[in-house]
Amino acid sequence: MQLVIDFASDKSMYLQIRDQIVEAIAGGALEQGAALPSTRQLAADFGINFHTVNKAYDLLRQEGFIELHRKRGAVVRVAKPVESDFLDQWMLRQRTLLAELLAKGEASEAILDRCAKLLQSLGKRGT
Amino acid sequence: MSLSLIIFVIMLFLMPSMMPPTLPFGVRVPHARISDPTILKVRSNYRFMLSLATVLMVIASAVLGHTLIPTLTLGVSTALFIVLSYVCYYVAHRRLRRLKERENWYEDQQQAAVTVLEQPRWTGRALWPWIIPPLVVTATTILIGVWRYPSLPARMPNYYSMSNFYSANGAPHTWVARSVWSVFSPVLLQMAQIVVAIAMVLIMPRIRRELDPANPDGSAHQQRVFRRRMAFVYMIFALSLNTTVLLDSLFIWGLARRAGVGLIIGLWAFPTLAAMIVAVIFYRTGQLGARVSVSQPPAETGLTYRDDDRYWKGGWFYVNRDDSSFFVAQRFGFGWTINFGRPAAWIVVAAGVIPTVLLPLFLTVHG
Repeated sequence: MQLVIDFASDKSMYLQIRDQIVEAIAGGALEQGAALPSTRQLAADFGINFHTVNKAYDLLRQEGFIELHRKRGAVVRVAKPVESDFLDQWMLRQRTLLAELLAKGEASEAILDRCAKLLQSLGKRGT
Repeated sequence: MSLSLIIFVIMLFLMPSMMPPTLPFGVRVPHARISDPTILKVRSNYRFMLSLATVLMVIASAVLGHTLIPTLTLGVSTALFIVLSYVCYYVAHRRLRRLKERENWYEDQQQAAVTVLEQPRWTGRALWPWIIPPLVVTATTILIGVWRYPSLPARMPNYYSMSNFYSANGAPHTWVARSVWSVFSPVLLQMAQIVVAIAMVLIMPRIRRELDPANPDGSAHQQRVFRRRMAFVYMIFALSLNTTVLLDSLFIWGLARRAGVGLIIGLWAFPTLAAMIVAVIFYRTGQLGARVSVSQPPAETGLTYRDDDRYWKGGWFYVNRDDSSFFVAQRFGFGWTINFGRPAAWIVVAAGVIPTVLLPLFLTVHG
């Protein structure tokens, strides 16, 4: 699976990395327990600073998507029930996103439909 | 003129066709501009200038040949040629860079960096067997040396004196006393090759691949092929060098005559054959596998390499402190070079250059 850094994007590089890894895990391209490249290796592959990748991995670890082992390095975490604080934060973000569309006049069914399509597209990748 | 030098000159002529299309003369260009007509013009100019440089070198070596011994003539004219060929490259490089800036080639281009995560990752384990042939040659040299040591005379030809191999009647000029050091020091050269080969097998899988954002999977395939072939090329080089040392040692240990057929074949034909094989492999592979065919690339991603010319000083030396990589791909040539922006690079250079330059000097003086 590919990881892409778009240098022209407004999104900072570490967030681009983090988002793509999350999507890869969601789609199954990165399975539970799969090893990620070391921070140094990934930074070298992209030709960017080691600290940028470190920031991305750190964020992923804090959010509970990956685990950092001493020997194996960064590993996709094995499925566990979603942590309640993560869920709370997620719900807050989702609430705002939904409100944006509702505020623009979009109907609920249309919004749900969009969400269903997005979920489908996330799941298809990597299977 | 040595055949290996001829092969080297030919490779320099062909070099522009062997680089990735997005890297003409060490200048990064977007995919949209690969076929720009100026690039072709610059290429013909380069080849024309290179022809002049070659002619100059031939004239210089003919002139010098009258006053200097053959080795020195070869050395000086080769050095002259290397400097001139760099000038040819730099002129082409500069011209393309200026053009790119003037016409703003990177406007509206989506610059990206891509990597492919493979599970499992290539560890290069399949490369280990390549070390065996040079290792066998080294072991053979040691065994023969050990067997021969007791019967060696007290005074032996000095291995490190170049004049010994180029004297008129083959009779050595300088001598050295027999000792474990004087007999076995050439073996150190062989072992150095083995060490470098091992280092290469360990390090190569970790070197970044610089995948093409417009075709990541295709370039990943090309790189895999390229790395396998580079390991093979290095094995040929190590084997050739170690065999040369073995044959030289046979001469020094009195087991082979100076003008013997075996020695001539070994010291001339073998390295030349090795050079030809390596040249053919490079020609068919291209830098980073640029000439390895890939199946139809998938739909264009619309992405292109990041423009990082500013890190390449003189179009040749890569200096980028922000880049974690230690080894990066050469922009004009085969294989890799070091990132001089990393402090460790200077340590490596010192560790590599100092022994290479000082060791032979030291040995010549003390030999």
